[in-house]
Amino acid sequence: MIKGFSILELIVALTIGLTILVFVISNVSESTGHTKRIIGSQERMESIFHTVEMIRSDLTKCGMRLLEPAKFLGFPLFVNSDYSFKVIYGMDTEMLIDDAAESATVITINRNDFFRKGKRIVIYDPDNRNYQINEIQAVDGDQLTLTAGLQDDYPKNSSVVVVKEVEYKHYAEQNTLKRKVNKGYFQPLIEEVTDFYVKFFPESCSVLYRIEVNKKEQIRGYIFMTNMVTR
Amino acid sequence: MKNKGNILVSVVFVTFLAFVGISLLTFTVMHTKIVRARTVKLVKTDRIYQDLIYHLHHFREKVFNEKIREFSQPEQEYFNNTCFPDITTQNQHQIIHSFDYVEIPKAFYTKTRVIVTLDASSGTSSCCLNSQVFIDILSGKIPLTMFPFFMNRGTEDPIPVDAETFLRENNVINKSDKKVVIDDVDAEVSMHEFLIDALKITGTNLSWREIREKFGFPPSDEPIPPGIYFLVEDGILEAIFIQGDIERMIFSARDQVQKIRLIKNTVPYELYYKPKETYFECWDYSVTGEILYQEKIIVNGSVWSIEQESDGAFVELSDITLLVTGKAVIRSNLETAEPYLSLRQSKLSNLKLVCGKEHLEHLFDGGGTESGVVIDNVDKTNPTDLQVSVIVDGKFTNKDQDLKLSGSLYCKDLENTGTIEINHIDAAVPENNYFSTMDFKYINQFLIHFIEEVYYD
Repeated sequence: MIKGFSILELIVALTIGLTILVFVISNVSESTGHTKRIIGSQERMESIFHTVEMIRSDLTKCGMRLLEPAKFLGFPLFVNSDYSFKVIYGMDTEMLIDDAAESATVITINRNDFFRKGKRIVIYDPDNRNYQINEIQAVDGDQLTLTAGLQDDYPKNSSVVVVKEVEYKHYAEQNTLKRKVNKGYFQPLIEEVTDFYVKFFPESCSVLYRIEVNKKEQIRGYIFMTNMVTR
Repeated sequence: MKNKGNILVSVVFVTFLAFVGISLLTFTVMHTKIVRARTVKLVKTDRIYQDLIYHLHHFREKVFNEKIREFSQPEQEYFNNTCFPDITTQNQHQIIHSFDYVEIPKAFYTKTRVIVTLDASSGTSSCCLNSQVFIDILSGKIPLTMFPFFMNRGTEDPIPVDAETFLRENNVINKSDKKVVIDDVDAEVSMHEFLIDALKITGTNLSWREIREKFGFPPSDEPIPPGIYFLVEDGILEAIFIQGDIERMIFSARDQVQKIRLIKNTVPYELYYKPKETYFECWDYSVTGEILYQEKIIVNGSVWSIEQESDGAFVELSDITLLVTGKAVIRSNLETAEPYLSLRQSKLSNLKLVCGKEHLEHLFDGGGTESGVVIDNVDKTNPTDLQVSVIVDGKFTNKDQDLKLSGSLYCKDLENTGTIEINHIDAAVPENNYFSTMDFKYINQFLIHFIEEVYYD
């Protein structure tokens, strides 16, 4: 004959069961919280790594292909404040195939996919110390139509560089670091940025940066601007 | 029944915990792997960078230590894979060279741009570094102002010395990225041709008879009397000719007007002009008005004190050529006044000081004084700042403790009691190349055009 549980047994079993359940639930919720925190932290680290990698890449390229005209360009290739910086570099270079006369709006170079409509270019002649910033209005084979006429004569073999301008800016109110390319809009790069600091050391051609996320993780270091060194 | 219930609860509980734990572990392991892979990639890329930069440094040293003028066509004979074979670095990175060149003819010389492409890669990384270097070789009659420091030692100097040793022993610091030349080189300081051109003399014969004719004196072979003369032709003031010594020559600039004050025999003379514009004023009303001045001053004698007044000697667009056959003594800073708006032009030196009388001895005796330039600043407490291109067909003497020369220096002999720091600044490209090498080859630029990361799948 199977005998049922006594009331005492039921109470004891229920107490033990509930205790185990409470223990399980609290552990599960705690581990879920931990998981969320760890995953959040890892995701944050991922985006910090991504940001640092992007900053490193842009700073390393700063001045690339523009050091020769930089001697007479009327603007610097790197500009910074405590919470923002801007780098300028060349995406690709071509040489003029033919002479281009003053006021001409069409120049001829070897066909190159980097030279597209709307791209900014610098055309320069180092020997006569002439340079001009212009924009490509249209591309037809190896001929580029420019938005503005040339201000000087540019002989054959003068250089033409497609320019890229990248700007980083920390929006303190939004705790967001944003990045802008050429004439585009600032796009969020990383959120929860509670501090962002940049300092340029011209003697060593290096930049000290510091990014603090959520007042917890902080990454800082020096990035050597390889393409700003001529000798 | 009781046992079955307990096992079920336990199994569910253990499975759940195991699932959560394994997920977390997997995620963390994956994350660790990603972080490690990223770190490894960064380290590998960094090593390639280090190897490439180290190699570029040695490449530059090798190029600069080569006597490039001994090659008739260095762009082919020297810049090739025989002289620069592909290498494997200590870190097992491969660096591959490829060469190309473009010839750009100029009026008096040829510029050959050698384009060297270097690819650095490792067998274990998808990252490769691509770099391009421009090496500009000038060959032919190179203007002397294109060299930061050119010491043309005569053949009588028995001991050849390398440039670095010479600079160290003579306290000369080259702050530019161009190479200095300390050698015996055929150079042309063609005062004779310069004077024929500046004084607009037809033919190739320069004599007092021609000079007298130009300044309206009766024909004779006698020198013209001491004084300051203007040579105006077709409404252009070609040159100012000064016969005899000048006590002081004081440069100053205000509101884009260049002012020069001359003191000769204690009498002051002042002239004002706007460079490259038709505006000239001086004490002689016959040459005052809408006249373009070509900014040439010829002194047959010595200038015992070249100075600047107030903060700047020159307006930004000035391009003065001062030729002195005797001694030129600089007694103050000579600097450009505050630059204004010509952002599209790089800085050029405003004064070309040429000193010498070679091939002119029959004509000019330089007041009986040996040609030379002396730096002897009255203010001995501060460094002397000169923004001048100096070409002296004789001795350059620095008596100052600390001389900063922004421009260039060509001389045949050097006496330096202090330190000379040279920061090269080009002079304006001359229409006629009277001060140049004869047939010379020179690496004018070694420029790393770019170093770029390239990724392969």
